[in-house]
Order: sequence, then C-alpha cells, then structure tokens
Amino acid sequence: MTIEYGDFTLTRTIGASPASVFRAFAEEDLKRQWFVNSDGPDWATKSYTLDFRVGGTERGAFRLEVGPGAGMHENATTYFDIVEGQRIAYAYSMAWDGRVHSTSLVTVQFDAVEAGCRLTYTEHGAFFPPSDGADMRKGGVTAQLDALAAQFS
Amino acid sequence: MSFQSDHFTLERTIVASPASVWTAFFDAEARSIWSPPSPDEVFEVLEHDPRDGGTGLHRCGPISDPTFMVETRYHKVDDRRAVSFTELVRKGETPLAVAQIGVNFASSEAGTRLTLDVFTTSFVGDGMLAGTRGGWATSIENFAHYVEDRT
Repeated sequence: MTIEYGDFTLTRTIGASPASVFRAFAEEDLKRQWFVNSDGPDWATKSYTLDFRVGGTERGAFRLEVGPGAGMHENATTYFDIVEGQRIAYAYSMAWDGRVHSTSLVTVQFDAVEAGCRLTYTEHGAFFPPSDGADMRKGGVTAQLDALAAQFS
Repeated sequence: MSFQSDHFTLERTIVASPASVWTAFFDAEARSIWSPPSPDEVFEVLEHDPRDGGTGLHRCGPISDPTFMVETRYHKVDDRRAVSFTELVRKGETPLAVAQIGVNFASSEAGTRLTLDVFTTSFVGDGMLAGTRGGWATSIENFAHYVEDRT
C-alpha cells in the first residue's frame, strides 16, 4: 500500500451569525440535520453519537444499500481544538466494511462578514487504496456543506 | 486567532532493508535516541502502542524543561509498508498544534526509500509550524544515521 494525499478547501457564506453556524457543528441535534439526515434514501444510519469537546469523539455508522460503494461506512472523529464560535480542528478516519481507508485532518473557521458567517473548511486527507480519494471526498463534503447552508436559508 | 497550516514532504534513502527501517522506526528505545533534534533536547516515550487504533504519549523539549506532551494516534499501520498517524502537541492543558503524518517505506536499489508527508495546523501562530518542520527534518536525518550505523 502506498499512501495517497489530497487537500481541498471549501468556503460558504451563510446568512447567520458565526455563533449560530458554529452551533450546527457543536450540538448533536443540529448537526444530525445536515451531516446525517441529508444523506440520500439509499443510506441507512445505524448509529450516530457526538461528544463535542476537546478530546471528545464523534462516531457514525451508515449503510449504503446499493451501488459500487454498498456496505457499512463508519467515521471516527477526535476533536483537538475548539474555540467557541470561531474554529474547530479535528481528525477523522473512514472505514468501509471494517477497513480504515482514509484519515483526514480538518479545520473549520467561522468568520464574521457583512452577510453573516464566512465558513472555511480545509481538509488534508491520507488515502489508503482502494479508497474514494480526494476528489470524491470533496464532492461528499460539498454536499454536506450545501445541506448546512440550506439549513439556514 | 486563525489556524495556520504548513505542508511538507521529506524523502530520504536509507541503506538498510525496509524491514530494518520499519523496526527501528517503531522501536520506543530507538525513537528516544533519534527523535531529539539536538543534544540539548529529550524525547521520552511514556506510552507506545503502534497498531491500528493504538495511541502513544511522549514528553519532549529542552532537557532542563521538557514540558511538551505529544499524543499520538495511529490510524493505519500497514506492516513494513506505510503508517498514518496524528500527533497533538500540547503544553499543560493547552493544545498547540496537530500534525497528520504519513510515512511510506518503499524498497529501493540502495535499501529503503522513506517518504514522510506532514500536514501541520498550529493553534498558536507560525512558531509551531517552523518547529515541526525543522524538528522532523533533523529527526529523519538522525534516524537514517541511527539505522545505517546499526546495519
């Protein structure tokens, strides 16, 4: 196995205060709405927990019923740095049918702008083939952030 | 304060087999020798469990005041070929920086081609970025000499 790497940055301007957008990452009920419940009809959520604090974890298990990615997908997140209303840093791994195929270091920045909140999401991924890779991961996170923005529209 | 990040890659050919390089990289006693970037610094291994999902804990810094704690989390360990882990550096209860590190161990004509990919995010300014970059560069050079001297 040779590790492959990929980076991407996504930004969204959301019409809400940075504190409000931050809460959508910090509170389990709010995060479920865009992170879990926005998945398509072929996804079944088997479990999801969020312990949002430095050293805390997030765990999710999601089954995709059809298609080439069918199977059980699990994420495991550890939070490293949290500044209320301003920024979050965490690492997460993704596993498919029990095999870890990627790990990523993520930062999320919440900046006040005239229109509300400028959110900047940066991910550095290490992918262990076979894996989805940086391009597909970027597509998945793009869909999640679209769902997040829609939550405030 | 905003995050500050740095990304760099180090490559080094080591005149030893991938198996020897792999073993030395994960040996706790060896790491306490090759990891300090200068004779005035110390790297003390407190916990060491390099396997998928395993963790490590190290104390490092100047010999007179080794106050930095490094929490390692091993995400993927592919025997003798590659490893991916994160290292969180903190002082007391204050997190200073976190790095995601990937290391490939490839067989080469001369022995082993070691490739280290480091992505660092600092929570306290760019001093931690420079320290991480400089520290790893020196440590990997130390590591190569450590392995070659024993081969």
